[in-house]
Amino acid sequence: MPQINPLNTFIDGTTTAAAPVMENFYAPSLAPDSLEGMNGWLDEQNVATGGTAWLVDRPQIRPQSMSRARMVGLTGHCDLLDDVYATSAAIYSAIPGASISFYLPRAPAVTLLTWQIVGASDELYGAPGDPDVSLKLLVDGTLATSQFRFVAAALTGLAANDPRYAQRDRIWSGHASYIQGVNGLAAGWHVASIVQVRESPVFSRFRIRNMKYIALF
Amino acid sequence: MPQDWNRINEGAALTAASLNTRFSATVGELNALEELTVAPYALHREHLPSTALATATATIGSATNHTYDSTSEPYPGYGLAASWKVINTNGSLGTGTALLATFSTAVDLADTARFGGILVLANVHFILMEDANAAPTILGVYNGSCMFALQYQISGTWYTLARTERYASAASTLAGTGQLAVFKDIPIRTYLVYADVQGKGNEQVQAIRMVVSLNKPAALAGPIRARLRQGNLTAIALRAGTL
Repeated sequence: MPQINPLNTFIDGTTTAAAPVMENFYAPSLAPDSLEGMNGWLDEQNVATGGTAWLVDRPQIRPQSMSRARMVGLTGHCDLLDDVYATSAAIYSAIPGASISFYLPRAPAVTLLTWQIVGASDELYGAPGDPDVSLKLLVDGTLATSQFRFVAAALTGLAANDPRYAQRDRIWSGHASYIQGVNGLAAGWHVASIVQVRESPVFSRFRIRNMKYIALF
Repeated sequence: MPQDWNRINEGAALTAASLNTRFSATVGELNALEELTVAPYALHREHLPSTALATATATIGSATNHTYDSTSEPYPGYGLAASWKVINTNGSLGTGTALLATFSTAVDLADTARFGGILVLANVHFILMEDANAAPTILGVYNGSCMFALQYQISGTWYTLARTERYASAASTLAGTGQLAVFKDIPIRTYLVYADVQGKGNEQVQAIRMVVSLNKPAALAGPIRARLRQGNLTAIALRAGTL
């Protein structure tokens, strides 16, 4: 709300009606032209300028009213086995620790999601074609566009106890942004997850560092 | 609020002047709040503008690779702007959907009272690096690198932000297995501030983009080639620390 406009004025020798006086005290309007402006509508436009100018800083701002953020993570490995998780490409397995739910009290100007997850696969190294394990971002039940990463095949051989090439582990330090007016998130609850897709019965292992949301209102 | 408002004495006549003076004095105080009049935590988002002053994003959702090579996009050297190629869905042609985010209005980083800086986050999926020669050499970790960086645009000219340069090499291959895919994620994060963009005539940043080039060793006939896939870029101009 901008500054309060000049109020009604009065002229000597002219009978003053009650209405303009009352309007000076209380006349709600988008363009503030009464003292009703002090009823919670004062904002940064009302801050003094010139000789008594000052800058709005943290002490004046209600905590978490301009931004909110939270992080989740997981300690230890997360092994996804064939008998626990489906291998169909149509089924996405949300990875524990890389999933976050958060509440937005109002629609943010910007919501950022960032995550760090390390993936390893026991798919045989050297096989042609794309890997069978991949990762995607799922937000509120919808797969995000542009958020897809393969997890490189790494197994050194098919014999029992053959190790994997550790240098074939892959970290995804990803981000996604949601901008109000473009693809912004609405007020309310949201869920974001990194999900795994497997196209063959392979074993996969994930080391989850974190999954974060940052909302700028 | 300073106690400089004079009350009307009991029994005194209300005049136009006494009313006008007091109403205008009150409005004047409300339009020029001093710091002591604002209680701690009194202001929230309804009273203050967003901390995100401007945003720009770009995404590449392509399900197919786009290819770049050391002939079209040779690495120019640290911090130099020439011959990089914007990452786009048509690769070396440069005509596809690009990882290029344009602000609707240029962000004037010289306005340090308003802009703290531009937070930039960029990611791209690095699929493969290979020798494109008819008689290819199997690439190893020492046989060239694929370079990535962020560039910003001022007055139509692109400048490389040297500190954002990253590189990745080809997969370490096994003899006889050919050139295997890398499948790496390339993340770049930076905060572009006034000091970064000085000396360019002005400091009004129009756009940010992610670029790629290939650094081929002289001993390798080449050219070497890289394939990329999906990516996204976000640029957020953040408000300075105070309002």
